[in-house]
Amino acid sequence: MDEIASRVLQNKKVSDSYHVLTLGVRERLTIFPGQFVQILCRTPGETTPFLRRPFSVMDIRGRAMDILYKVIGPGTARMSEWRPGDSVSILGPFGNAFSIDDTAVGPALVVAGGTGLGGVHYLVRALKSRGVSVTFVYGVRFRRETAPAVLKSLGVKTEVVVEERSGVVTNRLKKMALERFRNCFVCGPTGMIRATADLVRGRIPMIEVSLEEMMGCGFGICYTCPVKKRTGQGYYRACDEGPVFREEMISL
Amino acid sequence: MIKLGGLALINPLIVASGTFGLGDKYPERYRHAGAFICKTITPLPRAGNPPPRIVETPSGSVNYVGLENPGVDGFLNLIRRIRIPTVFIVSVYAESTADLARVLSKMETESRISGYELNLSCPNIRQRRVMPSVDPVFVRRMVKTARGLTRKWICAKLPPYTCIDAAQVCEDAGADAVTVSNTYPSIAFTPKGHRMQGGLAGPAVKPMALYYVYQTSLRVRIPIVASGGVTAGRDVEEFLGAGAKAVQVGSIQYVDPGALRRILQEWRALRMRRP
Ligand SMILES: Cc1cc2nc3c(=O)[nH]c(=O)nc-3n(C[C@H](O)[C@H](O)[C@H](O)COP(=O)(O)OP(=O)(O)OC[C@H]3O[C@@H](n4cnc5c(N)ncnc54)[C@H](O)[C@@H]3O)c2cc1C
Ligand SMILES: Cc1cc2nc3c(=O)[nH]c(=O)nc-3n(C[C@H](O)[C@H](O)[C@H](O)COP(=O)(O)O)c2cc1C
Ligand code: FES
Repeated sequence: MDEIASRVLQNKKVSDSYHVLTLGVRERLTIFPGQFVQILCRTPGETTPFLRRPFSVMDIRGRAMDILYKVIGPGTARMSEWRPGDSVSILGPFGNAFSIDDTAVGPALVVAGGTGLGGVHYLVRALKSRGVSVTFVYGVRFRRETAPAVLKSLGVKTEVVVEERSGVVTNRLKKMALERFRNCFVCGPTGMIRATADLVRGRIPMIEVSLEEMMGCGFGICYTCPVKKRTGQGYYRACDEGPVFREEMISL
Repeated sequence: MIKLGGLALINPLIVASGTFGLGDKYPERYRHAGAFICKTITPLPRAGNPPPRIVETPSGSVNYVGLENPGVDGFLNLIRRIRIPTVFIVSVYAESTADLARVLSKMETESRISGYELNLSCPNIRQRRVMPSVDPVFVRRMVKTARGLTRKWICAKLPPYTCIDAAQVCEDAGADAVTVSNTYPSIAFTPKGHRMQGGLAGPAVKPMALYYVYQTSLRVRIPIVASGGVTAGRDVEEFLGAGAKAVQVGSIQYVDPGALRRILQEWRALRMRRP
């Protein structure tokens, strides 16, 4: 759980409000698809924004790590100002990972919404390298927000659903023959995850979802990231038992 | 070495309750602390509050965790398996003296627990005897009950504002120390506009915490443990200067898990430089 010193290699705008931050780290990191890092969006001497911000690892190549982020508040606004050479403090990797080894043999449906693209990018690459056939459905609110270069770099069959034109992702999913998939992986806003899970449940045997809710610490010590258990009382910690959950384990 | 009544610590820094979990995770991280206080434990397991439980605010955060914990039995089971690297204090919350007695008598079976911090100040569960104004009769009964049950160190963690009067009650009832203070009752809105009432912590509260530590130190002779807004060695020096005998390190650890060791080094360097 040590702090990882990193430097900005590149910080590129990829669409209207989305950017890809490439960080260089000193050592090779072992990171699994679905895991995330905690980024300090200020200098250590400042006090605002106080908490770190969680981001999925979008890709990792040797000692370079990509993060896809959308500017929506004070933390991400700060990130968008970073220039190559700036130093950045990160913690991690944290959380569990998508289960791709034991189960992912048949065709997989990957569904992402908005910043969830960052969460599934590395997953898609890992599935592909295991020879799994991947269908990717990506929902985004506005056309100007779609990041064509990022989508293209995935190299899989991709359907982009722009909400301002064709409504939400589930409209598209309803028209698909879902029964042919063995696995479904979903990442994005909680509302989209809930709608997707409701639609896909019972039709695809294994559904895993990755949540992007608020976190205080990211490594299991603050108890501010509750995810309701489907059965029994109480909560999981999204950062520790998650952020990836079997859909039937949780109640959204 | 410092002494808080009967309790000796290798340094004055203490991990604040609820800011580093139960003690089972990353014990190597808090071995540098003079003492570790675990998240508050209750008689029965508590699921805690539904989300959202935290909202960031300028220079800090408001939390509404609601004492999620495995209960006294679950907790004792959990720590049985860990190697405790420093003085271990258990934070305890109960709503009646009978409940408190039940928790403490179970805790007394674990010899590695060096003392108790009675949480008389959680803003996140309806402890009406404490929030928004404190009931001195309740405070006296709780401290007296604890005193009657254990010879271990007892510290009462008090709420802001009323801590000055409450500290006096605790001293009279036999407490070894008081912690000043818990989080500040407050309201914050999430970015999505959800209203959340909880407790404010972080650098934002430090000037108020300094004030209450100082004012309380004028009223009681038992040691005061400071809590609120510590992020650097200088803050430790300020709290000790305001009348505290020990200083808790809290939510900065969410951001910097090595904060305790860093703050200790900064504080030691500061003291070396002083004539
Ligand atoms: C595991 C994980 C992975 C993530 N991966 C990515 C990623 O790859 N790319 C990306 O762009 N974003 C990702 N996010 C989301 C990202 O962390 C937030 O967008 C970021 O924290 C925003 O910070 P900010 O200061 O810019 O905005 P803020 O103003 O702090 O927050 C704005 C957003 O954060 C959410 N939020 C803040 N506080 C609360 C609260 N108390 N309750 C509920 N919601 C709250 C809201 O949904 C709001 O839309 C991820 C989140 C998690 C938990
Ligand atoms: C998320 C969170 C959870 C907390 N849980 C507890 C708790 O269970 N018991 C308790 O006595 N104090 C709890 N506190 C209060 C801290 O112990 C401390 O008094 C407070 O955070 C102020 O210190 P700080 O500004 O250094 O964080 C909690 C604080 C936070 C931020
Ligand atoms: S974010 Fe702190 S426990 Fe999950």
